[in-house]
Amino acid sequence: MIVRGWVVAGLVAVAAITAVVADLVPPTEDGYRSTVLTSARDARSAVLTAAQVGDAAQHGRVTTLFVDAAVEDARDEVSTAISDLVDADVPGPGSQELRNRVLPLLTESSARIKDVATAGDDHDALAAATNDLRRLADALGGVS
Amino acid sequence: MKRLFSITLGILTAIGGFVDIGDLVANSETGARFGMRLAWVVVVGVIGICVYAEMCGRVAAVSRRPVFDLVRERLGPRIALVNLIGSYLVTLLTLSAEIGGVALAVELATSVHYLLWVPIAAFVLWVVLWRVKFEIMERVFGLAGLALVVFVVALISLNPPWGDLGRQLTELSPPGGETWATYGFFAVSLFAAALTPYEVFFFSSGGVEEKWTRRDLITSRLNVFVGFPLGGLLSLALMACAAVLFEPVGIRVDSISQTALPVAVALGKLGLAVVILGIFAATFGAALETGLSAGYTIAQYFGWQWGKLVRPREAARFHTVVLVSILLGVAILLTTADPVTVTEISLVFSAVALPLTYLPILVVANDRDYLGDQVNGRVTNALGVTYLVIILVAAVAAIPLMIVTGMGG
Repeated sequence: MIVRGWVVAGLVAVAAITAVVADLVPPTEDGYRSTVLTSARDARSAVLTAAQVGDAAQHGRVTTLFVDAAVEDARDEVSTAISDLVDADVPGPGSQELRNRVLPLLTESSARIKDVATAGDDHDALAAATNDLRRLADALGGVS
Repeated sequence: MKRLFSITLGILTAIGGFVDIGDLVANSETGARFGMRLAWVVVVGVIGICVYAEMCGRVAAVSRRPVFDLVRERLGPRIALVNLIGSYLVTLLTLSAEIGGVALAVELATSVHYLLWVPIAAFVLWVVLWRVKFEIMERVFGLAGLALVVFVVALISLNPPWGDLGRQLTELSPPGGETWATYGFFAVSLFAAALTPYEVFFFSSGGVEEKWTRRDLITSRLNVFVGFPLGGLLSLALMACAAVLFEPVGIRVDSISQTALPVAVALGKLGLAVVILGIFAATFGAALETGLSAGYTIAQYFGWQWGKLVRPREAARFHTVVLVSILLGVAILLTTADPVTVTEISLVFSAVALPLTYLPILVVANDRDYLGDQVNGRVTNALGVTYLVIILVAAVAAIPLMIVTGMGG
């Protein structure tokens, strides 16, 4: 019983040390690229969802309250993507270039998603917002 | 006639009560990423829950005691304690996720942030658990959960490419862009969503609360073998709706608003109102069940008075455990942990805890001292053992898959 306790304690210690060491290892170009691609993918997903909500609003298929809630969810998703990108250490010039290309797309995504909620019942504004969102989704889909 | 009505009502309740936050999240996430390629897991899971829920119902009806009352007696306090700790922690996490689901459903209807609804939802939950009779509580929310049939109507209304969906059903591999690891992770999550441990605690304790006897075996079996599979169809409709609307354009589902969106797109505002009602009823009903299950497991282990048949004062410790569990569930959510993430984590740990829940059921269901001539037959045992192997594989694979895929990637 005592031996089993030590084994469990040892495993927990190894896991904790691994987690700490993993956090201290300097970021690599590949690791950073992976973070950027994940952020772009998640943001694209949120942008396309907001575009679908905008389409549904244009056709009178959703309530304003639902649009507000769905837009908030989508903006939260993009905010998380932006935080992930901003918080990651940039390992080199190649990564910096990638960051400079993607970060503006993400910040614009957040603003354009909000346009769906602010458009209210205005069909033209909703159409413009969803067109912008689809353009952004294409741009985010092209990040590589 | 009265009996037929009672049986029909029981089946409808079982259908409406089948889907909870785990099913809502796991099925729509999976549909969006894998189309219908993991639908087979839902079928496997539903058969599994039918096999074990039937055993629980039989144990409750014949012995007039819930399964976990017998586990400690049959397996001893030490093994039962391991079972209790694992099962309680998973049930607590599930309770937290369900309360979060209730708050998210109200947010969809009001656009007021869900965190403001969490304490209110928890308070109403506690009042219902304290004041409302067991049968009324179960029936009202189970029947209201039938509103989720709107996913079936929405699916038909979306006029999906049935041929493509059918082809995906037979593709037992991940689509392009997904790995075998993510495929495995979502398979485990879906399986755990179908066999969440609290379902069997609630089913067996509920049988005792409703004073089942041998005469009620038919009711129990109809609930399980008709109600649960039809409930499983709702899960598949959820998955198919996400597969039709999101998978072709590569949208990932991360929120409950996305789960509801296909219904709104297909059926408009009326459909949206019905699906929000359905999500509310499903999560609130499941929160009631998980809240009670938290009390059942602990009270039954320690041999305390339990249940809603006795006055709260006579089952004070049971009601205290329920109240403390609700408060702990609220505390988890008030850390601002995303309810969808809490649900995903609860499914992974449910998978890990599954053997602790299901092995004792199999043992008790084979004990002639409790069940006499109603012990498991050969077919039931063969299915039970087969499922235990699947459960063990899922339990062993859950954590490594979670780490490798980063919670599904």
